[in-house]
Amino acid sequence: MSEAYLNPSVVPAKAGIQFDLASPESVKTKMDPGFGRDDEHGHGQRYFKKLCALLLLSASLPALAADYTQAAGSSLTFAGKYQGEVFTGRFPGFSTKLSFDPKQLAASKLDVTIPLATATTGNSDYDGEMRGAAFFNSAKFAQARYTSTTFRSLGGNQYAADGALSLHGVSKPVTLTFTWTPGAKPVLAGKATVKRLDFGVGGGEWADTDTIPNEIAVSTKVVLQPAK
Amino acid sequence: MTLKNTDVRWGGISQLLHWLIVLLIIGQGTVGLLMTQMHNSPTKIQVYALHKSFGLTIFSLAALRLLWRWYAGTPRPVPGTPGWQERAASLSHFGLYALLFAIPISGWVLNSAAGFPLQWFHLFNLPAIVGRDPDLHETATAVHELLFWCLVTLAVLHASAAFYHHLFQRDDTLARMLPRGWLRAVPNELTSEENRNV
Repeated sequence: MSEAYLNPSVVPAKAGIQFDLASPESVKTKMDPGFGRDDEHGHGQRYFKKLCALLLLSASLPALAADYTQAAGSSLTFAGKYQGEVFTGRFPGFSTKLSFDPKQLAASKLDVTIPLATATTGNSDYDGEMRGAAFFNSAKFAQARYTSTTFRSLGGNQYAADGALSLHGVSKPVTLTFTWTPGAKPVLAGKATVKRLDFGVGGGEWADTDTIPNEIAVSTKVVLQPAK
Repeated sequence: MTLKNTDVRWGGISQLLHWLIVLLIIGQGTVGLLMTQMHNSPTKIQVYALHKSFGLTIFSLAALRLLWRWYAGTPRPVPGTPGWQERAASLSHFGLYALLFAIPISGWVLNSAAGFPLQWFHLFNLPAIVGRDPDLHETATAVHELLFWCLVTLAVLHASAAFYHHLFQRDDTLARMLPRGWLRAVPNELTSEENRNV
């Protein structure tokens, strides 16, 4: 069960027409059937906008990355080892805003807010402690936030975002590596390692990493839709 | 000292297992009753982890003990023991063995129902034997403690009977569960010892 959490890269590619923006031929061929009018999925308008964007780009105007918001089916999870067993948890209600274009990484940006009072491991004994003063202190720090404006291509559909995580009143750099699966509903599937002690999560006696490790694996799968 | 049990004495293995389990139970009971009062901390987690490790140890030793008993046999009741005492002793021995298994199993169930890991002295993990279930966790916790008090009651009866045999019947019932020479039953009359050593 924990495998799915730990291997967010195993995300099925979403079916849908994909553009290769480097090749106008491919755009044209794929668009012909629905060009200029809404097909049954309402894609036509969007393709038209993308074509416009493409034309704007080719005219060397300021770069604009596509804006996305989070769609249903997204998840943000964390995992660590405790007494020889992997424990997993999730952050329900996290929210993602993304501007991203693989061809315009400089114009891309990511902003994720993560409510902490609802973070859950599925074990009420753990949850009470985790949300409490010793760890997240969600009464005082209700949300964590991850923002990035620095993106790198790692080759293929792999990218890295060098961003900052604000958690528990501390802001530190955290790198998110992800795969980008384009489509009508693009999917960002990423992983990051967060050192909880860097953020003072579980300090004092809980700083003992024999009991709870410092490095917590964070995984996310964000299903995106164009921002309205 | 012979390792195997004879008709009149417990051998070394049975004695070792008996007293080792006595010590472990005293430790487990004391820690088990106190640890629930601790506030959440890594120390509490470690104390619980030790309680689980020692509980699993008792569980295994009980199984080993039963196998050894089956292989090595048991001494006969000391001559002159009334039939009702013999039956009462057999019944309480059966109960004690049953509890040596039932208490760790109830602990395993409550731990599994709560969704906590089960690890033996940081060496290996054991699987959950029931799924997560808060109601079952609560029930099994109550059962775990109730069974512990049953064990205390039976063990006190068992020990009282042994002391009664030693101090009032002045027979070998207690002495034969200890290494030779540690404890000597003082006979009421010299003749009775000769009778016993037929």
